[in-house]
Amino acid sequence: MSGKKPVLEIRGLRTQFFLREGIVTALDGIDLTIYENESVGIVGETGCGKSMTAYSILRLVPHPGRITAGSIKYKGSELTTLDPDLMRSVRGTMISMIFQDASTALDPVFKIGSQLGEVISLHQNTYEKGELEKKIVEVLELVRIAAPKEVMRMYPHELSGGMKQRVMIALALSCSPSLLIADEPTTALDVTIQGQILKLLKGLVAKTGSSMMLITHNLGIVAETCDRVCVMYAGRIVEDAETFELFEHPKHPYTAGLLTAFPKLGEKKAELSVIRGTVPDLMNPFKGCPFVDRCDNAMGICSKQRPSRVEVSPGHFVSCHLWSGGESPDGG
Amino acid sequence: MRLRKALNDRLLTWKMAGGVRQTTADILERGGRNLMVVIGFTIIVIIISIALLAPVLPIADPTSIESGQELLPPSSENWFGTDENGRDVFSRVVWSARVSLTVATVAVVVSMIIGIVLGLTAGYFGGKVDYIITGTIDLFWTFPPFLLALTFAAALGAGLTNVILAISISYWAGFARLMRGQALSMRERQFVEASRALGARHWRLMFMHVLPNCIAPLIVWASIGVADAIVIESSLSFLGVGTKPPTPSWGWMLSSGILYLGNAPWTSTFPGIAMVSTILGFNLLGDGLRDVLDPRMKGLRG
Amino acid sequence: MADLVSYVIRKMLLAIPIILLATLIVFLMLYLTPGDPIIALAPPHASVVELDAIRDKYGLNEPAYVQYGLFLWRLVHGDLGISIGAATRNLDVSDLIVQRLPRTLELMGIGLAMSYSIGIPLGIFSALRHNSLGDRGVMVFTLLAYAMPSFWLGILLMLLFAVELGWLDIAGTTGGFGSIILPAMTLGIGNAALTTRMMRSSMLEVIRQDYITQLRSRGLPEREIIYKHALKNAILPVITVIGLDIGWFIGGSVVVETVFSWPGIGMLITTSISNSDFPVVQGCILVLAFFVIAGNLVADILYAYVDPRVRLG
Repeated sequence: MSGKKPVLEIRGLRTQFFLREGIVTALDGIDLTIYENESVGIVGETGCGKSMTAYSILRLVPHPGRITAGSIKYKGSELTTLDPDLMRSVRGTMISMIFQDASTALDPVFKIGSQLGEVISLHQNTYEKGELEKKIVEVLELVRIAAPKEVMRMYPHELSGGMKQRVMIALALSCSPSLLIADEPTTALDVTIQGQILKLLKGLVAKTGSSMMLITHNLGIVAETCDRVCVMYAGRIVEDAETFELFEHPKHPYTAGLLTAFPKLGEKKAELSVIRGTVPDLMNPFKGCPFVDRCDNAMGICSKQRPSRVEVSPGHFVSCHLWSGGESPDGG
Repeated sequence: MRLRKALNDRLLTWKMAGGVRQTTADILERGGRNLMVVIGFTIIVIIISIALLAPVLPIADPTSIESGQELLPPSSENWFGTDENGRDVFSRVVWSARVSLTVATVAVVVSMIIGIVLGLTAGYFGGKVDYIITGTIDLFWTFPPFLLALTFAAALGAGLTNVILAISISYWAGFARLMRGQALSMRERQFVEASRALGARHWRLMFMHVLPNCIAPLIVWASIGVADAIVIESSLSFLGVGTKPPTPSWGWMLSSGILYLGNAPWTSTFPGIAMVSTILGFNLLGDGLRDVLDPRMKGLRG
Repeated sequence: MADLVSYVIRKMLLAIPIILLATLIVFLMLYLTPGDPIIALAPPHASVVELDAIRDKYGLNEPAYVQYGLFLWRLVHGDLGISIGAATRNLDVSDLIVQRLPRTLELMGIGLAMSYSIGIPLGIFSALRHNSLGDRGVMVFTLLAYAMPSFWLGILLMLLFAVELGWLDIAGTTGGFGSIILPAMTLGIGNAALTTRMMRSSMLEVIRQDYITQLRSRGLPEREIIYKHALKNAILPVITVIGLDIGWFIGGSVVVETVFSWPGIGMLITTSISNSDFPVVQGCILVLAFFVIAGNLVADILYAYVDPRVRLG
């Protein structure tokens, strides 16, 4: 780890929503580091805060939510307190994002060329028409769109789902960001196209040398794409390790549950095992471990005290009382 | 009536099929916390009480003409002054409320009945029946209710019954569209399927199962309908094809008051204020209830 | 574009039965009318035989469906019958209407322009300051304006601008530009309230869309996101209902023209009703109905033009 430079360092990040009914803590103390040339997967169930982490990094948390604690550092400079104008220049050029559903995330009333041109001319100060068009064509070719000149003159609704997602990737990569956040980039697509898009994304990240934060609920995608994995649960990162290590030696009961629920290739199972119970209500603050109600190994301490983050083996972190204080799972 | 169109379409697309059954108690409970509903409801209660109590209130006869008392400004004797025939404006405003509310309520009830019957029939039976009824609904839906009401009122002539008739014929299409949409979506619901399997009769099914589930949007639509009907009635009366003198009516009072705008503005301002408050009350109640009932507004602040 | 053309043709064909039914209703008006319109046409104290001769002349002794056929036939040829009112007896209804139509169109045009130039900026303002004091103020204005029947609003404006301030003419008859302001304002304010509310809710909805967040994530300036992207998306559905506004304005123009004695079609209807001049009432209502249908068609077409998904339906 020591040889790599971090692109993004998040420490103790907390994002809360102030609703009339009460305060919802969407992110509760996130610690996450992404290094150069690294692909990190963020996995977890719907609503666990995966996307909110992305929005928090870009400081685009929708009203009535806001970041209430913690720090986010991009190559050493603090983002949470950055001047809004400077923050805007970070977005798109240094940190860029791919959205889940390109059919709702592209402006329906502007042509593809105009949407790409807007971003390119803003960040690269390209205003001359011919040069701008050249750049648009270039970036469309980068995402392997066969007829860039025609696509430029089309509206989003005239394109297929896969094509729209390619345009979305082109938008995100048009200003060569150092960190690419991909929020479920293939979920809205057909299975056959999912593979293509993922392959394209992987190739482009390798080619441009940027880091990627890939948000997904699909462990298969993570196994295929990411160097490291963070498992999120109820607004916290519960386990964090290199992909191979995590798949082979899951430490947190939740991760273990996820992996049993995920059928391994070539393995035939009559039924997917499902983790019992439901996610706790984020409106009511809880003292202990959020997973306590669903955990088979729960102990007395689990509902009283929040587990701290411990390094169980080099680069493998877990937040679970089973592992804190050097105890073994059987000891509890 | 563009807002009405947009609103009706929204009520139609309302997803009742999501399993959320809105009970009347629910609506009352949430409505009590909505400012628009509370204000609207209060205005309506006050005006209806005054209108109901008009015969027993110690006020002058709205039709008694007093010579020598013409166009007197407001005083302790005549709170709202007197009109060009020496009649007490306050008393006439109160009695007009009675007339306008009666016309509007009866007209809305009649058009609601027409709408419910036609809409349910079309939505429940489908096929040719639906085709014919929907065609008729669309025809009436194309034209602004006021224009239709004016046409019928012009043909029928002035008079209380004719105005009610004219408004009813012009206003039912909204209710019919609403009910048809609800009936269509309810048809697919399980308990209706189950009752059908048990051999329940069509009409029983529609009235016992489909109708009770449409109460909420009907209340919204009816409240706004009363406001619309008052606008239409007073406009028709203003044009001379509504209620006939000597029956007091806000619209009619305004059309004669317009001549004395310069020297006796009280003859038109007081009936105008009463009329606008009533319309506002029903609009507030309807709009507020719609916000309460529309799930899309839920969970958002404000 | 081909799908748009076929969509327009389909919509136009669908308008034909509606036009036919509208003519039928207007034709049937005559049967609902109490009294015999022929009496008005005949010389005073005409004998039964004379009355019958007049009926024959106008085809009134034919069966109803033949009469309706004749009515349609004349209609297609632009013949709306003749007036039976005291002042305009025997004049062609179509001539009377053609004479008045420009004044109504002028009033509607200015009213429409007023309602959009008030409603759209106000709606945007309100949406961008959602839940602020200003937003609440605008909402109260729209509620009040919407609760005002146009004749009452007209009276209020007259009281304020003509009686109290003495700035503008009280009636529209004096001609000149000053006289159109009050009636057009009266006609426009109610619709301005609706436009404001539509624009506001449209804008609020657009601001919540994914693509706005996407644009923000590209680092575009907020001003550009709101006034270029959000505005264009939000304004389209509001503009497309301009056709439906015509219906609203037609209803309103009858009342407003009467309040201000504005010599347009609406005023013609009111005077003809009080003169029992039914051919003129029929003709005017037919013309207005035609405008409503045309307006609906325009709305459909505009909507399909901006939202291509509609065309396939």
